Amino acid sequence: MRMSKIFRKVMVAQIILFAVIAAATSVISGWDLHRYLTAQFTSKGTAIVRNIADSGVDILVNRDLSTLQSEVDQFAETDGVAYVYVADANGSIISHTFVPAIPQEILSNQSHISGGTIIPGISIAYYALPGLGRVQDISSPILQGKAGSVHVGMRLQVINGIVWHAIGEQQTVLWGIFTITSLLALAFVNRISQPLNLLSDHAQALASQDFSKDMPVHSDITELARKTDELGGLAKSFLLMERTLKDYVGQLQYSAAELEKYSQTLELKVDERTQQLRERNLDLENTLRQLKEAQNQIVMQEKMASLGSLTAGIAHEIKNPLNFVNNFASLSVELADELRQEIDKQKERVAPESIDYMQGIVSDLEQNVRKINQHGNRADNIVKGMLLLSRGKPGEMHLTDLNTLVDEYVNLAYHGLRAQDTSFNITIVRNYDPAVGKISLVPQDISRVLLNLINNACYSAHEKKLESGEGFAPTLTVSSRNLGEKVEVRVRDNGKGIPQSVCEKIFNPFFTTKPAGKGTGLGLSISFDIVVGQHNGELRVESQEGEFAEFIVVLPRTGIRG
Amino acid sequence: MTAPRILTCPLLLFLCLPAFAQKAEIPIGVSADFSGASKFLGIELYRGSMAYLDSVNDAGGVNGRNIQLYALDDGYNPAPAITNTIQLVERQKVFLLFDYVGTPTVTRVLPLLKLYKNQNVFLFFPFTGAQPQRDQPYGDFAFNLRASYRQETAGLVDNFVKVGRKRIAVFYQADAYGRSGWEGVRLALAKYNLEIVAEATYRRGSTFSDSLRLQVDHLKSANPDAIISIGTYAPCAAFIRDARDEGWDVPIANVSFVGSAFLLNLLVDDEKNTGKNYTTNLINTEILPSFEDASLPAVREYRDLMDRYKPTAPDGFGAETKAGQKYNYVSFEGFLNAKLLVEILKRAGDPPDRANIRTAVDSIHNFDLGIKVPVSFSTDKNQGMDAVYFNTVENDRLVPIADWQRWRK
Repeated sequence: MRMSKIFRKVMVAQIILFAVIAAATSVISGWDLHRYLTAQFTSKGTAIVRNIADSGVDILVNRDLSTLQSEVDQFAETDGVAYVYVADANGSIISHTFVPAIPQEILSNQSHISGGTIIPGISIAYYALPGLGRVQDISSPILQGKAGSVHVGMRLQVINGIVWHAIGEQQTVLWGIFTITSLLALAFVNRISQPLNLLSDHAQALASQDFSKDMPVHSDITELARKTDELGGLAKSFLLMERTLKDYVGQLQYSAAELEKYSQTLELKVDERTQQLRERNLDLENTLRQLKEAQNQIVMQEKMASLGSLTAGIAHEIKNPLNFVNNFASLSVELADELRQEIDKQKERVAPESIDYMQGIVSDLEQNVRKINQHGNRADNIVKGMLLLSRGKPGEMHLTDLNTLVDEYVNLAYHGLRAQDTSFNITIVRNYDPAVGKISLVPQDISRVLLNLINNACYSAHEKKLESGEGFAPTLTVSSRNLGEKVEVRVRDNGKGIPQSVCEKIFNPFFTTKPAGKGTGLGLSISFDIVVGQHNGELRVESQEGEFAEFIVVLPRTGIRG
Repeated sequence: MTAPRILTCPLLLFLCLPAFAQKAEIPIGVSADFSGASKFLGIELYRGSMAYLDSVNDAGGVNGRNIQLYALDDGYNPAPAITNTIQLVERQKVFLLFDYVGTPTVTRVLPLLKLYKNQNVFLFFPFTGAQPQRDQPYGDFAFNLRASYRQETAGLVDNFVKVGRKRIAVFYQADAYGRSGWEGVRLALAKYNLEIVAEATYRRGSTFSDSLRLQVDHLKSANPDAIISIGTYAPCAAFIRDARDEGWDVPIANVSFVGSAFLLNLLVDDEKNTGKNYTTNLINTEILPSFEDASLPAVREYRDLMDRYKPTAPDGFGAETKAGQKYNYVSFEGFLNAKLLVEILKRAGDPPDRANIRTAVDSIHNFDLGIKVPVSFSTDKNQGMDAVYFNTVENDRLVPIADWQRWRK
């Protein structure tokens, strides 16, 4: 709660004023009370003094002092009475209530009173006594002083105590009432100063022209404007002003916001377009790459196709004459044999020189024919390979245990090579994954691939052995691995490796690194066609020249034909 | 000061009622201090009386009637003493009042007795030497056995003056009792044209542990030759202690009411604690011959009955009090009070009648209580004995003063 500064000042002034009033009241009433009580004490003391003086006559004349003392003691118990004493006509105190002894102040004043200034009625004196404080001494003569006098001391400190107590109570009540009324006034003032504060806040808000957020005082001001008093009118004017200002400022803000919006959307759009272009670009790049790949593939396929048809044509054309050559060559071998036999039969008839000569010719002939036959067969093999390459008709797919197939052809290749060359030897490391299991493939085609790869590997390793000598242990590593949807077979040798330049064209038909007559250059080409073309698999090579070469065949489990 | 002891009264009444119903009895009312600053006085006086009354009741009582004491406590304060007296007279219908203790109490009860004058309610043998119950207008309603304070103080003043101690100071209780003794000293000194050289007071109810140095200093500054002390045993012992602690060995004389045995007890006990000497130059007046004088028949009888009945304090009181000396002046006085009372009751008719009391008392003439001093009453004289005895303390015991010359100045 905030209080208007004007009202705060008024409150402070009120408190000061009230404090002055309260103090003044206390002083006046305290003084009044003191006067009144002093008078009461005096009259009380007077009554006691008169009482003892009256009865004392009888006691003093007729009785002993212990009776007087009893009387005196009774009055001494009265509230506010400090002491009572009775002096005889000579002024000597004959009964009193002092403990431990009659104070010197009383004793020394005694002679003064007994000095003859005995006046009828009551006389009052004041003493300051140790232990009793200020005392009002009220005295009265007995029998006009003939029988002595009675003194009663009233404790004025008691009066002070009562007065202070009363003032304390009065102040408590006054300040209590003041506190309550102040709180009420405070509440009232707050009710008045709240609208003023509201208007002030409102004016400040208007001045700062902050319309972006709802003015917190707005609703209160509206409430205030409903009132019919001056504050209400003021509030109405404020509201009107606020509305006008709000309209102006609102229009301005709207225009500014629109502009802002335009500039912002423009940037956004540019960004958006750029992004789209970038994406389009990427798409295009991808497409281009795919196109290039497709193109390569097409070129490859075209090459293969044209090569296939070409070789098929050539092979077919060559096959017939080649058959003749072969057939007649083998026939000629037999003929040469018959001729030798005939010569042997005619030995005696012919001169030995001629026989030797003839026999020499026959064996040369036989040898030539054999050569013709041999090379004819070789040519026939090449033609057969060429025909196979171009052959379009695929074999049947069978569910085959790949590990068994691989192992079978490893052995076959090994023994085949051993049969050709007794010096050949190689360490074979087999590493089959039993999880490979059976997959769907064309066994005769895949076995051809395997035989090809293994032969190549053995050849390479053997070559290296021949070059580097005893220190080198040629090794063939054949492994299979389950890849889940696919299986993989790796054929690795630690032979001479394949140079990078060779790797690029290794699957091209008729490409070979073997010396002329040793390879057709069709093995890997056919293998590639079988694995990639027929089985929809992968065939790739990894190699480091001089260290190793590894061919990797990956086949899908479900033999989907390419 | 005026702490009422009335609350215990209903209890006492209940305890007493069954006996009342059983047998014809003569109810006797007692109001004394059984719990306040002078409770030993009330208790011992009661015990002494009970020793004799028990023996009388055992022997069949007075004319076949048991004498029954109804004891109420007033704590040595006037207001309860008045309340108790009204209670005893109007509710308990006691035959007479007996063995009251103290001047401030008795002084205030006397007007009540004058109020009851048509009923002939008499107070017998109050334990005080003050004048009101000896003089008019109340002397007719009380009978005293003991000598007055005026006689005791006059005896002291006479003896002091004789040995040259003329500067007499008074230490007294600030009430009617103290004033009574003070007046006695004043009157006695006046005979020699002397005045009290200094006076100091203490408030009734002060105890032995309170300091009375102020009073000692005040009196000492007047340089008196002797001090006459009118008080009760606790503050008077404290006064002696404080005076002696200051090295002031002035003779200090106490009157009979102080209860010499109890005063001595306090001082001797404190001597043991502090190793100081508090018991020289002490003088005590008594109004009876020594309770240790076995040559007296009354002393022998008193001792015999005390031993035989071992009387106790009234029911509900005295439980926490230290047993005083087996025999003492106070209980001896109680014993003699009872003995004389029984004699008076015997003479008051059968059944005893209050109207006969005055005649019965007046008939006591040279009566022998067994203390070699005759007791006499008459219409002019309501005090049975006038003798005053002077004792001093030697070896922690009260002994009669053989020669005052030792205090010659």
